Amino acid sequence: MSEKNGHKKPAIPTEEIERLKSKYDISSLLDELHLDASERLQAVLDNVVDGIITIDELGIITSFNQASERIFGYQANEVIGQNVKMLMPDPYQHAHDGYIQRYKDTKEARIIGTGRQVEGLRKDGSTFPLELAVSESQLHNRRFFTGIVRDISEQVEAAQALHSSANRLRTVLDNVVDGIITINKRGIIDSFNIAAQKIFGYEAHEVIGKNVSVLMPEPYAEEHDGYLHNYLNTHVAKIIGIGREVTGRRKNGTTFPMDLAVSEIEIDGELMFSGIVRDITERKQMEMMKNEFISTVSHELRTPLTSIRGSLDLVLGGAVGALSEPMEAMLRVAANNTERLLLLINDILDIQKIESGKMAFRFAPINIKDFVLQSITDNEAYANQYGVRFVIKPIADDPIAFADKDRLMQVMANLLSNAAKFSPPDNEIEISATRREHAIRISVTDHGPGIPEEFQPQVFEKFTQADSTDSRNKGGTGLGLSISRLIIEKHGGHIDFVSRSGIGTTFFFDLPELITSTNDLKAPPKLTSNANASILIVEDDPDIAALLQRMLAEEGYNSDVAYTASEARARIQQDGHKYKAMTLDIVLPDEDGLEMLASLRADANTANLPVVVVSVKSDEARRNLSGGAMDVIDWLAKPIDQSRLLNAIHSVATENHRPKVLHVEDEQDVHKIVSLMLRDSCELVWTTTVEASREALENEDFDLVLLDIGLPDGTGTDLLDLIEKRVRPPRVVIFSALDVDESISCRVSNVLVKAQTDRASLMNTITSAIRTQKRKS
Amino acid sequence: MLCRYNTNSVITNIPKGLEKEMGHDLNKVLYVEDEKDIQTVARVALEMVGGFELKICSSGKEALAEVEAFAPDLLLLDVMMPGMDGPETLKGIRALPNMANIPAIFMTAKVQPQEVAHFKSLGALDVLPKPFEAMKLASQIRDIWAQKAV
Repeated sequence: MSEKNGHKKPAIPTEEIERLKSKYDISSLLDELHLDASERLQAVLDNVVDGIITIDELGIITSFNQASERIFGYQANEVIGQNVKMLMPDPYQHAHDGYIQRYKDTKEARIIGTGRQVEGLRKDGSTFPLELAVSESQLHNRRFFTGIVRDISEQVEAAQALHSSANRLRTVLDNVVDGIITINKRGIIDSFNIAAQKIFGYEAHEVIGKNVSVLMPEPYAEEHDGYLHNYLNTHVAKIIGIGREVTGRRKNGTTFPMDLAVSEIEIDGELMFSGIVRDITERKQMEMMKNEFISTVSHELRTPLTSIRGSLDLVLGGAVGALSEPMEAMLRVAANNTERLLLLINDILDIQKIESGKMAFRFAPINIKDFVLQSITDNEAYANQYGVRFVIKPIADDPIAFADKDRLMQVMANLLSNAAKFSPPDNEIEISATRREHAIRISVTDHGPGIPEEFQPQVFEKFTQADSTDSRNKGGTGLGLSISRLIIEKHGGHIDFVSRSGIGTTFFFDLPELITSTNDLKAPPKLTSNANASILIVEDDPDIAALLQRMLAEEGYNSDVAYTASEARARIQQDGHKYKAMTLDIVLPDEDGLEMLASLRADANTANLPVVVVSVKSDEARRNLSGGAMDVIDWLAKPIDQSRLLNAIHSVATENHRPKVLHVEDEQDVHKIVSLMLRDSCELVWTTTVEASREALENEDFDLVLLDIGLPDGTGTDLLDLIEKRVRPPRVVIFSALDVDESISCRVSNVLVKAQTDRASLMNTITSAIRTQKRKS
Repeated sequence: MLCRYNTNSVITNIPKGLEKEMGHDLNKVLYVEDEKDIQTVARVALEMVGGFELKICSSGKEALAEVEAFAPDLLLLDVMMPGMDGPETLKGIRALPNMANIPAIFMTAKVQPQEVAHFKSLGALDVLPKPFEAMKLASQIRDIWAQKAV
């Protein structure tokens, strides 16, 4: 567009300039040519890149340099003496006279002294963007204006291209089905595309500038800031860089399942996070329907199979008389295939249960050495069937994994039976367990034909076997390895294989190694006054245990983790005075937590150990946990609540009367706790609804009603009228998570509040439990 | 829902007086199962193979009507039945005079450990999986009987 060099026009001979240009700069060149001052000025003006135009007070052009000629396409002589407005398109053209006039009158400048982007009009009628700077000068008492103009078509075009590509990008962002949200490192929403607006029901302007936690239900919302903060400090990611299923909250307060993928990005040196969100409500519903369908179909298939299998079994077992040999052979075929059908149905159900999260995994620390040995004993039958030997390679030390032993045994059975099936007779199958970085690897190696290369990618797919005739020759459903993979993945592990044709195949899986020591905590405990108080965490879920440990460490508490009830007992026995309090999960792999609590209470040494019950829904909590939240359903501080409760009981108990208590409570866990506390001192009737409680109260006399407020069909306080109308009204203790206002609390004997689920209260409870304990001793 | 019990029984799951009931040999079994074919199979498995005195009812309602006259030692209950299901049938039978402590075994396809625990909490001795092994069914029942009597 505009030319970079302005020295083509001959105020001095072009050849001369060209010749000397390389040797001299312009000023020395002019000196050499002995030009006088005004000629020199003209030469300078003509050689600058910018157009320079002077006008008088009336707007008449008085000079027009070469660059201007090039920019506007006019020769100087065509414009000098004309009004400058000829260089402007409408509407500037008409406004210009008035503009100069106004400037003279008021000194109110639009361009003069500043400079701005305006439009220019070329001789050929085309317009172009130009940058204009105007200054005012006085010469011989006459005022004139100098304008410096620069053609900026290129820059403007580039900017427009940039703008249009940004627009295109914006259009793309606005039309994708996925919500795209960016937040800064403090969690403040920076952008919110149209799909995100549709998904969450917010307009962009309603959420931009707000904390992204408005899009999350509790408890995630409350925890998010901490999570981000933690990520920035530690780079321990729960979601970032990974995709996962979380729960979102719409503007109207409803929640929905969504897929979330977060990546860390840097924009202009600032750390940001972009989140891609997809509403998966529909997919979830489909999954649910599919799962229900599969479980119904499987049940329906099992019913006729029960008859078929049963009759064949009886006939082949000789229960209804002797069989001829060919009859027996035929019936054996029918029986074998019935078994196969049954295995298939069981496998399909297994897969469906794992995929839908309905299969309960019972994790506990397992000794890998013992586990491998047992797996070989358990599966010896396969080895005998195929005439092979299982050989275990020496396992150096004693690694411990955190696993569901039964499920893991299912994986071993699958791997060992596969290896046996595909090994030539009299062969050895090697089993090894080795420690790798943060993991334990268990391998099963056979010397069979190997897996054909073209089949290798499908090994873990459902219903696959290398050779379709194999399924008949070798048996099996084609689902075993898919199930094994699902099981290993549920353990946070990884399963894979290596195979060489003609040499053999090794299947292996890696499990995260269990690390139990407090020393492995990343954050060293702060040295506070709490430093001497040690807490025993009894919790089978390692994620939750670690979380509790971290929470306690932040408050300056040391803690030890026991993953099973027996481990907890061992630790307490070892040094009973070490622990100032204990947190207890009531679902433990080896014993019911409440049973354990009862026995601790019965023992004089531990009768007064403060215990906080942390009851967690296993599967769901594990999911939630990865989002940084711990789902504490309920927790109770003991012995405080227990003594209060017992006081209430004692106040109604008389010498020869075993008090009768109605416990109105819809949560089974809570009822279990209460029945455990009261089992020696009263007769307990348990109801879960207002309706059932009403019925009970009308038919029987009670000494005490232990009342939950939030019930499936109403509130517990609905029962107060009925209770007060009784001839011999029972005393009432409200035991509820809900707040109870004064109008209610004055009608009852005592209010015990089930604690809410935030960690601050949890900490308070632990702390106050310890304090109470100290006062006693 | 009204669940009432003496709190002591929560822990052991064995109703009071059951120990005495289970002192004698197992002879009479009342089986409640809605599928005719499965009834046929079970009849051979329990009568011919097992040597029990067997009565089969096709519904919970029928069982409620027949149970007192037959006076079984043990109830064998299918869980999933139209109308009254197994647990409801058990509850109904135990509400009858002299039947409060009758031992029962459920039969069901659902055999996840926590489901077994649930059925036991309803008062059953144990749960047998379906499809069952017909030749072994009677001995499995005797094993459960013997074990719980200890």
